Amino acid sequence: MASSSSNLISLKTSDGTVFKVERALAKTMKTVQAIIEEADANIYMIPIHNVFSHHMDMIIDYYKLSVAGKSKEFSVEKLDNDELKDFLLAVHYLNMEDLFEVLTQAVADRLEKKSVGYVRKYFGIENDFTPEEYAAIRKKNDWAFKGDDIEPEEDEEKQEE
Amino acid sequence: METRSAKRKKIAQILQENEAKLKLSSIDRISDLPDHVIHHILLLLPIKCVAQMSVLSKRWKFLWITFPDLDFTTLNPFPLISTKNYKKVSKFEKLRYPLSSQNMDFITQVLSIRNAKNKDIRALCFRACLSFSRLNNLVRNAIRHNVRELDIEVDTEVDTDDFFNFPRCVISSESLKVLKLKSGFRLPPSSIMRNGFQSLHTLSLSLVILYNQPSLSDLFSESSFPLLRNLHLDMCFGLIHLRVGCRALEDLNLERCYHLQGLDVCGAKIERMRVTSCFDAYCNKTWVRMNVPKLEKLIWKFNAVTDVTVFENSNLLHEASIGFFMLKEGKVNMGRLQSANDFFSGLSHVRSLALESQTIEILSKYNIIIQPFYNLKSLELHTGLKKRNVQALAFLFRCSPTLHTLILEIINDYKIERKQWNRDLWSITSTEEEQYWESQIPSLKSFLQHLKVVKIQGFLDCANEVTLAKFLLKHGKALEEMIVCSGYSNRRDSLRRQNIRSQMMGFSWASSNAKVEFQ
Repeated sequence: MASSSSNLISLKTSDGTVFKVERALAKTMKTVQAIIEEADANIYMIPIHNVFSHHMDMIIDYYKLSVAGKSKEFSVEKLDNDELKDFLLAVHYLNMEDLFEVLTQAVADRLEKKSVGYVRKYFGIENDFTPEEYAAIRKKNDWAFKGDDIEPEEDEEKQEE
Repeated sequence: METRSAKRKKIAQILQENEAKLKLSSIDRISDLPDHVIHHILLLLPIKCVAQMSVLSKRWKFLWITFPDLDFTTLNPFPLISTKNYKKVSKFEKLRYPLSSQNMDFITQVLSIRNAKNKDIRALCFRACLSFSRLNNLVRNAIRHNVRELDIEVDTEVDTDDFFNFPRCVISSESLKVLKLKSGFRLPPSSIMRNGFQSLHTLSLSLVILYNQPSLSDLFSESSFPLLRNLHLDMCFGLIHLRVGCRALEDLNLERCYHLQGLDVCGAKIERMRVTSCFDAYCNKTWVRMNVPKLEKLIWKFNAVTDVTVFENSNLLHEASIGFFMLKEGKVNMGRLQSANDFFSGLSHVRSLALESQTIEILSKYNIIIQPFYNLKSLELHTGLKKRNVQALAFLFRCSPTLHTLILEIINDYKIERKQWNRDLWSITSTEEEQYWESQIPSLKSFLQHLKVVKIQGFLDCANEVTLAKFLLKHGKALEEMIVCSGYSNRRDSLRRQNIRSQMMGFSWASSNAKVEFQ
């Protein structure tokens, strides 16, 4: 189990870009770490599928901030939902615990306090219930729709029929 | 040049293309995340939100009925204490409005929509005002779903003097790993409790009524609770004797057991112990026995000094924070002094020690002989630094021959004037306080040779702290850093402060490396 002589690990993203990252950063990616440990000889280049170069840019940003103790300054606000979801999938693939927590919290923050209709439109979730099924599931979870902290529903399900 | 109709056609085409693009882009964005990732996200949301999302699509309905943790506490964020318990609990506990019972039927509903394949739930947490039968049914329902974690805070609906009985169905559960129960409830007899809880690793019981069984000597024995790692007992009214001997226990937290007279803790694996606001201060037959060889961290605060202490030495003890409690009119008799001494000898291997002000008052008032703390590297003292405390401080320094860091937190009681440092006294070679410290130099030789860092907080330029700071700078041969944090907030005294600072800097220091920082 020979280890690489240099302190940099080469990672190749799905769009072909090669990133040379510090060993410490590669260690936060459990998937990559597992590949390194599995390799018998020196491994020159580790391909990381599902991860694009713009993801790596953000990962490196996050790593730099967290090393400086400023991980709270990392923000994904500029990403739209698609981009956030893709980034979350990339980080999930790489198995990076801390950043995964940050991103799931970011998604949760975007979902919270929004009405059902809003969430549906925002994420484009298609309703595949029949009207009877919908009424049934709605009734079973009636309690969740009661209370003064609930926003009035946007009943666009009815409009879709 | 284009004709108008051609232009219109072009625009219509572009609009059509955009429509198509929009349609494509409105395909499900979030849903192609795998199930457990979405669960991970949903676990960060209040349960009401998650339940609402079950109507979005079939997949989202599935995500809801397989949702592992049912935490209904987000529905009512305030803890419950009814008026009858309020009387028993300290006056600083706030009163909250209890939740009405009909709101809890939905928990049963939520449990019922889970189908047979996905029956199991991981956690169930709620706060409610219920009748006992309702509570019992809910708990039984959860056990049937193989719940692993139960966190319940309940109160009876009616404001009577009645308390709950402990829901016995949890005792035999094989899946239950964590049980947290806060309510006014009675425990069943030990014989029934002892044989169950085979999988439990965390137990937290709060507001337990034990007048009918004041002695819990065989409930937490070596053979019961075989996997219990964390035990937390809070507000056990009527508890007089407690013995804890669970074999796997690692963390013990005992608080607000005001009637406690005897405590016996025997655990080969206990690493952390916290005992606060326990022991009956009015009783003169109290005792504590601790045999915890692997203890690393001890917090012992607001506990009356017991009449007898048996504290087996814990070689691994790393950190201890001690705050004895003494009644205002209380006197510490010889027996108690010996007991306090025995307590300290159990701490003799500690590396980091913090002492609260009352403990230092006891040390100031009475002559307690403590063996030196040879491993002590960090000492934190909370004290008003009155004249009578100075000797106790010198005594503690003597007991810390290899101390690295000294932290002094001066508690300033602004009502009582402490002796101010008088700049006119600067011309006099030494004040009474300075003379005292100078007289201590021989006995503090080792201390002065090792002390590296000093931090003083609440520095108000009174005679005692200025003298001490001066003394340490003048004689601390290994001193590297002294940080002085002022207790002042007004600028009026800044000139005074500057004077004192220049006085402190204006004499020779024993250590050439030393740096003083004023904050």
